[in-house]
Amino acid sequence: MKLQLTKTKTVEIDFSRLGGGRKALTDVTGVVLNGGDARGCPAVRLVHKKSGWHVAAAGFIPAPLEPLPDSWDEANKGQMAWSLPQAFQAPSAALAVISPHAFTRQTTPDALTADLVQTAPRVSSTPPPRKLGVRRLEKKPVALAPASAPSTAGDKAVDVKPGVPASSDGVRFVMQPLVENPFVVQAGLPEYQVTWLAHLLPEGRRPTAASIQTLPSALLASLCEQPEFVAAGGTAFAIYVMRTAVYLAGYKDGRLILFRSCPGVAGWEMLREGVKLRLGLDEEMVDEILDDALIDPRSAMEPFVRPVLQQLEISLDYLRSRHNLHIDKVFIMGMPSGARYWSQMSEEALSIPLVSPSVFKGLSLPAKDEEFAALTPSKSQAFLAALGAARAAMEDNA
Amino acid sequence: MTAPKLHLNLLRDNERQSSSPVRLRVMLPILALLACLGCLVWWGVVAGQLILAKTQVTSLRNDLDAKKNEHSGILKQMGNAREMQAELDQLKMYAGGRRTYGSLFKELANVVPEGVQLMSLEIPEPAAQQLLPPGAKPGPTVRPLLGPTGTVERVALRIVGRTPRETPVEQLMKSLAEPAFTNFLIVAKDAPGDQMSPRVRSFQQDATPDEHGLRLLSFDVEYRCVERRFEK
Repeated sequence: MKLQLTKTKTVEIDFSRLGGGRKALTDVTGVVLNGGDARGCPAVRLVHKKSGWHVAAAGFIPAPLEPLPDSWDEANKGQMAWSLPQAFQAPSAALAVISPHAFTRQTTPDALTADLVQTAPRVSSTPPPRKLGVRRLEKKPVALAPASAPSTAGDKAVDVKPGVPASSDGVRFVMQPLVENPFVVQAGLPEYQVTWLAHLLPEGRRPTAASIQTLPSALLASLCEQPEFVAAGGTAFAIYVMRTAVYLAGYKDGRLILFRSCPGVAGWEMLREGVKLRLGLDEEMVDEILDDALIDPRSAMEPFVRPVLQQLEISLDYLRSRHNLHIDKVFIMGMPSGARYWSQMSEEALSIPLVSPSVFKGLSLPAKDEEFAALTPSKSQAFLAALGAARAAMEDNA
Repeated sequence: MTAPKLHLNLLRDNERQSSSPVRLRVMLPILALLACLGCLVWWGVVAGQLILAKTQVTSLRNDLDAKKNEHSGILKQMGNAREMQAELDQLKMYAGGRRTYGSLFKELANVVPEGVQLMSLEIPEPAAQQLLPPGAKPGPTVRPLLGPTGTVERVALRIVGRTPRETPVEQLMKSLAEPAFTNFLIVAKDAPGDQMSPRVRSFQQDATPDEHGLRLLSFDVEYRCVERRFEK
């Protein structure tokens, strides 16, 4: 609302900003949605106090009654409110979403602009009729332009600023600059899914959505409070092995310098399936075998692990040659089992051990909670993305 | 380690909802409206009170103006009343100071011996009373006092008569000293000077003889009477 006091003086009052969470969040529940886990949705309630980071609750919560919509029509059907168990009723929630239409990628501002210009005529306020998919961007030569924003050459359709969500062609996306100019990391979801997720947790009840992230982007902040990561000054490399994909992330001084999805590699679900078939195991035995030293499953794991290690080698070489960055701390996170064999194979192939600590390491945990006490580092990996989503939403508290 | 920029939030600021059951963005305009409404009501009440006070002030002023006229009239009437009251008081004092001599003369007729002829009974006029206000000089504008400033007035009874001999006069004087006359006449033979009563002013041979050719004695005796007091 604008109030004109005099001919030259005008005061603008923005009521929409009132009550909007402009303050740094200190109590957030991170939840992974649409993860396909039969136990439910992994959720972690993270609290930031003066004494440090505190995990108030962690566990699997019942999934929403309705699945993630796959089209505008489904999203417009009406939505049932989703309530979280009392232990997870923080003021705010950070939702990490797994969607076949989501994308998280490293790109350049020029590529981003070209993509926007290309899709500009199709930008519409009404829902697009076609089904959305991940758009492939054509690789372009690296330009030494500032990384803060895409160049404005050509007909600019959308103004893209770092950290500010934008919409184009029915897709909501956001980008953050990487340490290496001019690269940015970009994440996006179909507009209808973001709108649906924004209203999944009803207003006036705890929690309400304060952050919506794609699964890979939620992983990025999960390492922030790891003691070994902090001890390394935030300069490390991480392999996030998730259910259906593997992501590689390089950090320099705590900031992202490199991000990519490991091409041609499935996630730990396929690896477990391969080990199960190769060794003739029951489903229940797979994790035990992968965490046990009695039977060596490395031969069964090798077809899955080798391409990842190759990508690791390529990435480390790139950082060494391009940025003179010698990284000796490599984390492998996200797997429910078998991290020790990954580390052995990495040491054999690259002479680099892989570290797989508990995701809650370095965080204050509820002292009397027996479930936390029983969590092994492997079992804690299920909460990696939920923790990362919550931690990313509380980034201002860093 | 610099602050990481790892938050890729797809939610816009304007899509964020409050978990508080009280929504500030809704409540604040309502509260502002209520505050404005409250101010308006308060202003109305104050304006009403002001109008009422002004009306009362006007009414009081008119009343006061009317009362001023009435007040001066009342003051005048009060002055008149005071004056009249003073006159009444004075009259009461005069009434209090009134002396009746009927019974004296009635008793006197009974005690006058034979051989005594009363020529006159006189109560001498007292000295003129001072009726000017203290310090004032006589003039046409000076208003005299309603009564004398002194409250006591001396009164005397002068008996003048003739007698062939001295004895009847003595007998008369003796009779006048009896209790029947003590309410009127004061007998103080031993008092000094002019306080003495009765006082024989003269007792002498009358120059003119009577019808038989006898030469009589004329006497003039003055009695001091009870003082006349101007009191209520």
